[in-house]
Amino acid sequence: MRKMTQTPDQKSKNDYIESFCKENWEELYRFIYYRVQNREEAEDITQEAFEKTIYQNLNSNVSVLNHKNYLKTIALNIIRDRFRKIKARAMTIDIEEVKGKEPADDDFADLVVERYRVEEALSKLTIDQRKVLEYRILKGYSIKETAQKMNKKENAVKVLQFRAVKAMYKLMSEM
Amino acid sequence: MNRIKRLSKYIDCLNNEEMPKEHISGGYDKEMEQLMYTVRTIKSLRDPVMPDEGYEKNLANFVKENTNSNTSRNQKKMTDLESYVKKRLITAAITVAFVIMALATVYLLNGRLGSDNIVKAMEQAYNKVKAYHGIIETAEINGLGEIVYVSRQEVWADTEGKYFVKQLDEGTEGVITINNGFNRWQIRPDIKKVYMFAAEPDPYRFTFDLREEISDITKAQSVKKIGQENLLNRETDIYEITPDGGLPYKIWVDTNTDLPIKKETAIYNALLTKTYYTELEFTDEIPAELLIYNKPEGFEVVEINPEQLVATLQEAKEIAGFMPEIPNNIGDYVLSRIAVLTNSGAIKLTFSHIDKEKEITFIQEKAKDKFKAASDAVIGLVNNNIAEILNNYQGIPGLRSIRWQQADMEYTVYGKDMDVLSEFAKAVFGGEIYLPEKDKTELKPQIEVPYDIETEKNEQKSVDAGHSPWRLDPVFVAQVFVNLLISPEGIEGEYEIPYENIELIKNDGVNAVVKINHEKSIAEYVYLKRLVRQDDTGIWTVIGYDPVVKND
Repeated sequence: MRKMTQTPDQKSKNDYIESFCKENWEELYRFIYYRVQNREEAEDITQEAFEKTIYQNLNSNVSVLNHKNYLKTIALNIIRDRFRKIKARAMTIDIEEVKGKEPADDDFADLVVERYRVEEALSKLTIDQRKVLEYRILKGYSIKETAQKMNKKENAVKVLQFRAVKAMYKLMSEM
Repeated sequence: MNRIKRLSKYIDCLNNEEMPKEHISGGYDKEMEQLMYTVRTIKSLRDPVMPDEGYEKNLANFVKENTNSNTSRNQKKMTDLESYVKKRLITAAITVAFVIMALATVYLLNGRLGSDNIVKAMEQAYNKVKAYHGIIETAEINGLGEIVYVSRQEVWADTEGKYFVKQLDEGTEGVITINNGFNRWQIRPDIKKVYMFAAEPDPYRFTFDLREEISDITKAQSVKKIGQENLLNRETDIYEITPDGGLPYKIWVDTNTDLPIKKETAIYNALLTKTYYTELEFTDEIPAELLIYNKPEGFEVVEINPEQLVATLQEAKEIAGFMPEIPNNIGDYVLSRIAVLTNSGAIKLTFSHIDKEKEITFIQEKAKDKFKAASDAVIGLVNNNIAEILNNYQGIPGLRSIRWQQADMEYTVYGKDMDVLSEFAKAVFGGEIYLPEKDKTELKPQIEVPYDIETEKNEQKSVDAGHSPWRLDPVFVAQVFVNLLISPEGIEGEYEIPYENIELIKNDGVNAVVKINHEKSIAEYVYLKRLVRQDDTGIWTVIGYDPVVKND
């Protein structure tokens, strides 16, 4: 069997990939997670964004000055691209709507403002609507657990949660 | 599927941290997208769930593998769905490979680690623990080998800080202490009372809490393997731990689990303490029924510092009567919890780091009394206001705090990192912070008081063993000193100069100066120093004083 060895070039390339991933993965992952709100997809898009960025860095003469921003741009393009494909199939999606609000992740003040916007909208819901969103989305309880806590039937919780999310969308759009 | 069910499934998917099929296959209309966007926005109030340990390596390997192949990007181009399936398979393969590597590593660690690596092995082993259940026995043995005290307790604990502790020994039998993450309470059958406390800060630590024990070992000066023993049918390695301050002690580490199961202190004042798990099992979680608050019939509830969670700052304002200040520019911390302390009317804001398990708590309330710093506090300045700086907030070692008053309000920030706390305090009003640095100012008392360093070292050991805790309080030490100055033959009964008449005017953690406000005092200022150890566990010694100047 032929023994696999690394050439010096390949070694330095691998070192570069490792240090680039180490330095940037966490910030990019958080950036993506904020938009997709699930670990599986955030991990997937992070991987794809790194692959594309590093391929570009290794195979292009164009030098990128701000890698963090470049990674984020690539990640946003991947997210938008996915939704564009969906649009082609479903023919009903407004890409800008899908994109949603994009707070500057590094700016704490913007995150606080965004948080206030959501909190403000939550505070305007009825007590039951607010509770159901707190249990289901903020605390992550199942329908069954939420039904037990609210002393309601499971179907009633589903209806209540649907109306609460609709009301939230309306309130947030008006702000 | 109707919209109601579909939205519910979508929420379930996000709660399970899985990609909803809507994100890859579409098939929904504009209204559904608006609802999904709203769900994601609400969920963004929660902290992100970070990947498992090893993701960074998997990522680098994945990228290396793909960029090292000769396939160009164009040749590789696939549909999203194909790409999705391919990536899922690769991810799964890498994950399997990683798990195999991790298992192999654990095997090697269990079998081959020497004492040099045992601390790391314990940390790694504890990181895999979700919760545990055990029976802990403690025995105190005197110099004649006689057991003078034994206690037993049943413990359930998890790695998030929740616990259920039940006393099994005579005298305190049936006393149960519980922290379920939201509330903390203690059931006292002997007096038929339930004491309710805020869930945090939680100064309670049951004996031999694995988390605390391993944390202490990681800070030790040295860890040395000194033997092996079969303990209750478990093979153990014995290590001698020399802590950073205090006397060495021994721990027995189960070679199967890499976790400590027994601890033995050094003999001090002819007393040795042994603590050990007679039973220890690992579980996925503490049984839910143990963590549910349930007041036994006929018991009285005593609320101690209760707090009420609220959803918004506006709600907090309505209860407390003022709008809380929010610090600006505090980096990666986000406001994660708002509560009102109903006894004091204070607002308590918790800020969590966006990706690490770190929290800063900011308490704001209307100032009730003139500001007086605690006697064991370091004195600093926040916006030119005197600030109390503690390294053991509410008696919890390592929990630091800054407290000050400004414009009829009193503010306290507490957490583990003093630099972050200082940034927080600064960020509230954008003013300046002064935290005194150690050993910068040499004290120059007019009259020096001699001391014997060997006596002080012995005294420090005595205090380390739990004796004379007053030596840790500079005001108390000064009080004893000034009372002895006026009654050199010894103090009988009440102190002539009370504690309240002594004011701490300087404390940088190493040097302290107190002012005596009493007509009978011979000394006006007393100078103290931590001679043996310069941290919160170091004793204070009087090194001099300035006599009262008589104006007659």
